[in-house]
Amino acid sequence: MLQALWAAAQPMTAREILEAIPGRTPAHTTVLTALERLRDKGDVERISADARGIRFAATRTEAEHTGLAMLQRLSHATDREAALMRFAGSLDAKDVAFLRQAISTDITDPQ
Amino acid sequence: MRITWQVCIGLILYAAALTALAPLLVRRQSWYLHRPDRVLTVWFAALFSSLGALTAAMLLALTTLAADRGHLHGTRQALITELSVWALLIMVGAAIALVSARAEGLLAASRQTRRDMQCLSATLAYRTEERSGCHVTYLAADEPIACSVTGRSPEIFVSSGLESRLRPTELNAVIEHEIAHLTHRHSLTTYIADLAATTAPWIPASQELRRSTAVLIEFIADDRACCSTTHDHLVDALNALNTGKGADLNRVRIGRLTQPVHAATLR
Repeated sequence: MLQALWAAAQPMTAREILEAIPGRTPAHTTVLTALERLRDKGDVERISADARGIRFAATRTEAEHTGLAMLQRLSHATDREAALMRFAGSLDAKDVAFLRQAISTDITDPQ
Repeated sequence: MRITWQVCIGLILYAAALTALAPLLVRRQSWYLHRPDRVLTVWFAALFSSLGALTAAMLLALTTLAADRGHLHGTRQALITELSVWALLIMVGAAIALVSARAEGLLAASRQTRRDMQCLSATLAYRTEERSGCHVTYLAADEPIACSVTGRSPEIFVSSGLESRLRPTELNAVIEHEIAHLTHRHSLTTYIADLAATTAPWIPASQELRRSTAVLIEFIADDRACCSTTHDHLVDALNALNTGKGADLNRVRIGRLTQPVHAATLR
């Protein structure tokens, strides 16, 4: 669906998107439901409603969409710690108890 | 010759004892919280000292066996010595091959990460600036992300999601934290810890070194950021981002930074 919107030069109706999808075409209601879900995720926006129905457009280009997916994957990857230092790092479960105890002990007994 | 073998065994025992004791030595709570730089130094001193002792033991054993080989022609003892030399050489070769393979895997991941970030920069960047010799690139992405990548041109990446969630002073503290990672070469520290953990995963100390390094470098970067900016701004930034996967570590970092005793150690 996003591929169809990226390929189109202008916003499309659900019917036009349906026609642009190659292979087995889904039902019209399925396309509308999927478009609403994409809208909730911020990938698609409603542009206008005309005689042919509501028109939809992708909010980002294909490159931006791919970039965001890559950024999300990288920011959660566990095998890139040495190359990518993240401000919001994660704590191994084995260290949680030790560090919590260290903090609480330090508060009660600063010496 | 007996003395030589005793030295070899002594070196191996020293490395084994250090490997077993290092995790206990560094886990002194107040030290861990307030002197993370010293704890990290002890960790790496123990690692390199153990590796040095094992290398010395191996070289001593090889040179002793090679010297013995010359005096024992045609005897049963000569055959045993010959086999021992080859066994040691195979062990050394296998260890070098294992470390090289693991190092190459980690380096490949680093190269790929740099390429990925350059690609992201080309598609999502909406602003750039220079800070303390580091290039800061702002990326259009809703998720609050701040990270740094080393290389020939060290670079910090900040997402628009993070910029919109934080006040300018808090964002400045986050960038100072990332600059500290770059200037202190924390990526190299993490790389060595990762290499130790992936090469010898069966040794508990190697896993503990990796986990400790991940936490200690965050503490060190927090302390450096507090020296460059106001301590409260970093705490506010951590509070604003105290959700999701990093929440546990964030809470520990906030708890540590807000202790009066810790503020005293930073002075």
